[in-house]
Amino acid sequence: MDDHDISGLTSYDVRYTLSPDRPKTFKGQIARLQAQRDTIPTGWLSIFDRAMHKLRGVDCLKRDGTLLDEIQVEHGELGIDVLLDVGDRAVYGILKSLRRRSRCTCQDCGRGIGAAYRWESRKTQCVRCHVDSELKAALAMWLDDGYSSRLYRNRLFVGMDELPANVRLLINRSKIKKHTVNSTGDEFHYVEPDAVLACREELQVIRRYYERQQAA
Amino acid sequence: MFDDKLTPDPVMLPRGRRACRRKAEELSYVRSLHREFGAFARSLEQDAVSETPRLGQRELFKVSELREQMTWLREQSGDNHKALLKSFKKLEEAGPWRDVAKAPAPELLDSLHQDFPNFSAVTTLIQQRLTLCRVAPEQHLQLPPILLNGDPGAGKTAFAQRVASILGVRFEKVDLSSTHAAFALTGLESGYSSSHPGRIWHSLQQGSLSALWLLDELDKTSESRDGGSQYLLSLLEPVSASRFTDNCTQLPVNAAHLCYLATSNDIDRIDSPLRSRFEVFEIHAPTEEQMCAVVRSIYRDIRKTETWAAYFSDVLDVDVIDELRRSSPRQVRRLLINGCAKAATEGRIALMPGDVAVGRDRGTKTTRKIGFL
Repeated sequence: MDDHDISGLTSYDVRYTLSPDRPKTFKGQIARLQAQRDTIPTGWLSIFDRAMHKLRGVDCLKRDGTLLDEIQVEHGELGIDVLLDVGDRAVYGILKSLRRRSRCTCQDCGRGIGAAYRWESRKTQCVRCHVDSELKAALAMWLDDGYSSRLYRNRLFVGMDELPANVRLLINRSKIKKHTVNSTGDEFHYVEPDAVLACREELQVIRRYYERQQAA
Repeated sequence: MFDDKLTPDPVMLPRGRRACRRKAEELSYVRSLHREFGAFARSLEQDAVSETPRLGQRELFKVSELREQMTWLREQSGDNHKALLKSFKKLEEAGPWRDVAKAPAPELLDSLHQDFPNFSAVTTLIQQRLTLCRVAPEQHLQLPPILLNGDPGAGKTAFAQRVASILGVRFEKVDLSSTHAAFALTGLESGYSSSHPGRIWHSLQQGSLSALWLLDELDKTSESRDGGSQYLLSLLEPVSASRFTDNCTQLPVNAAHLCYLATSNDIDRIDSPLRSRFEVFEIHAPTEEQMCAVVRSIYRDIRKTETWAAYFSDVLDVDVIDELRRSSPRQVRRLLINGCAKAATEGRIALMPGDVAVGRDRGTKTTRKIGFL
């Protein structure tokens, strides 16, 4: 099929390479990536746009043999793989730079960050977005009335490390219990779900805070 | 709600070996967020407080004072404190604004002149005050405390009930001759295990701030042990009534829109400070001429209130009225019911003079003393 040497490609690559949807030109491939822009988290849009700008800047006509993969958002990274490289390292360098920059850019707010939460939550977030998203998830668990939320609330105990820091601050200290593992001596702090539900009023205020912020 | 004085959480603080910049940054952000939530909660409370009242509404209590009381109650133990806190929460949810009854048209009270001819002076005063209330744009009902002094059985309670129904306000009656009338009205201190808010407090928890209170046997109050009638003085003075404090709840509430109608048999036994707060009226038993209208009014009332009364004819025979005109209003009601019972037994739907006849010495006086003399 056409001008591409497909030796050394995986079966997936071959399928993609042979796909009739694949744009034949390098310029077409960039346009195709641009059309997938909506799938990218908001915070990464700026670095993606910058990468696209750089890709358009290279001599597109000489790179028609280069095959670019789909946009990948996984493991806290934004990446575009080069499936078939014609030997020019410029494109490869731009895409590598995009992946590297995505590792230290908050995918929610776009703020450049030093210490990311990539490996814990499989998301690259700054401290603020991480705290906010954990808190919002906890609000859904403790306030919503869905099946999974009810199941979550019906447990015998909740580990303190499962709760976001802001919820921990609301819990009455006398309700926090401690268990020490005999073999290791590690301490495990936990509360009964009722202790968290006692803060329902405060959790509802937090929810209203976020709702108002979103509306603003 | 969101405590400002945060102490370090032993669970969330990283231990020395785990301490890192990220955790410190997170902790700092968490705390700033916590403070923001606190400020937001306070702004929500402020929003709730600053809700504008509807036209004609008045403030029952100050929200800040309610919150102070709630904070204090949260620190207390005991079932009565918990129950009080619960009722305070309901009060907070309902908000501080309450309706005040509007003064009805004075003409509505015209029927009282006919049905209660011996209360004509009182009716006229109430009509004049209603006219005055209706001059203001909000037309709030405001009546002065009225004292009806007279012999028992003159129809004082029936008159008060009729006035309340015409004014369209709640009617509450309290017997002041009872030893515990003070506790019943103004509540029992929360220090006692049996503490409870008084009836004034409960009356103000309804949708409207207006109610007509019948203070029965006011002259017997001074004889009771618990400080006599001192607690009534503040209730009857509009300025102090607007900050009335129940002994149990200790929350100042606005009781200035309550109307009072008091009854007594001997005005000389009422303390002068208390007496001076009332518009005093001497109520005499109706004359024989007036009694005709009173008998008809009582019969109408019986037909309205008693379920069995529809069985009987709606007009009372002149001879029956003539038979009853020398009795007191209280006796008339009893005689009419007894007469109806007798007529029903004999299968009649109309009363005969013999049904209501009583064996007694009929005096020649047109007015006479009635009651327990």
